Amino acid sequence: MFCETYNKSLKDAAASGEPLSPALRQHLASCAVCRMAFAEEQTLFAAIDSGLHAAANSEVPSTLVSRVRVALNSEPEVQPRRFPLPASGLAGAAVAAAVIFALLYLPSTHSPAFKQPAGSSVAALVKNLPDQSGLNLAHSGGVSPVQRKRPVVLAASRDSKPGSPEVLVPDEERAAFARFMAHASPSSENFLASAALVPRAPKDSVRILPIEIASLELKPLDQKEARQGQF
Amino acid sequence: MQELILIEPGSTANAEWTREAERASVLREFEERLPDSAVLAFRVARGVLRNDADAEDVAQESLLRAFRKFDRLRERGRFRAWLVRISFRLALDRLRSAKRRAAREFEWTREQERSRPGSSQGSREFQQQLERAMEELPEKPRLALLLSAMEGHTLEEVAVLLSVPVGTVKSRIFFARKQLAEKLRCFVKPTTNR
Repeated sequence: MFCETYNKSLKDAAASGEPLSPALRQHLASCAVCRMAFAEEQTLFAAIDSGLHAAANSEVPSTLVSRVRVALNSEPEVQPRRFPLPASGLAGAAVAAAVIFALLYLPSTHSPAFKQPAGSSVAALVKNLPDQSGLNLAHSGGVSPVQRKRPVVLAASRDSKPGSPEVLVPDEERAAFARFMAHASPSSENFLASAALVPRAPKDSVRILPIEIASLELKPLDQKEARQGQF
Repeated sequence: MQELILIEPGSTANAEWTREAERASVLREFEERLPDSAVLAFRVARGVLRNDADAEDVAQESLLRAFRKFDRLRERGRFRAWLVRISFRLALDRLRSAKRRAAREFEWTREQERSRPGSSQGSREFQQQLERAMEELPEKPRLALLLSAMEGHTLEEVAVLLSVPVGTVKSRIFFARKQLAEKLRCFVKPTTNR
């Protein structure tokens, strides 16, 4: 046990392993108890150092390097990036810009299609409408029950002006839809115009014939084929 | 478009050839460093794990990881420091696995008895206690102490490996030694009193 005054400084000196200061050396020369305690402390650190040296410098297995070499050579080749990061970033930015541009400006390019044709009005359009009962056509002979229930025709088809919208309206709702559009907001007049004037798509163009499956004929296997079938 | 078709095959082959050459060059450079690096990686791992077999596995894994990203390492002079960090981190991860720990303790005891038949019971016990006390140290002082105890490492080299100033290394080592002394005092006294 060190003297109270020198306890910390002597312990620190032993832990650091650095040379003692003149004051400490003087004290150790005059104090036998501290001298003995300091010797014990030095023995302790010597044992620690020795143990650390043994732990930190253990023999490396001779197989390690060869093991790593084998693993390195069997390592799959790392595929480099097809595009370097800045290039892919630029490409991404360009695509994003294009999408934003399309979203912002595309609707405005469509708007002229909604312009009312010169000289036409809602009243005239309604008057010129073909017989509304004609619009409410009887159900066409579809293929599937679903189609039979809800036959859908093109109210404004591809034949209409480019850029005009296509609206799918079931047959039985077509007349009602036309009436609704006639009484709707003025902006919808344009739509009505294209909806009413475009002829219905021919029924035949949407008809899908049911799949025909040829009748199966069962024949007995001859002996050769029967043998091949066996395992 | 035609131009593209005409140029594409040649440029692809050229790019592939360049990539192959680069890979071969990286592999050669890495293999030159391997003997020295393997020792470092193994010893760092062994210092943490106290088991040769586990340390070998960790060293191998560290070296493979280092190799995979070796071509992206701009400062090749920092390779050893980088490898120390990888190895130390992987060894700590493995050490934290509780299952392996129990097996390792058992294997370690057997290994010590086999490798040092002449060593006294007291010194074996001290070594065991020392390595346990090391395990309880905080990571930074522990790694500094471990690296400084390795042969051929000066304080300056340890500072480079840890990317810290020499003063920081000194203070970490000092702190670690004091911590160890406090834990191991009782194991040394009986031998010194003899």
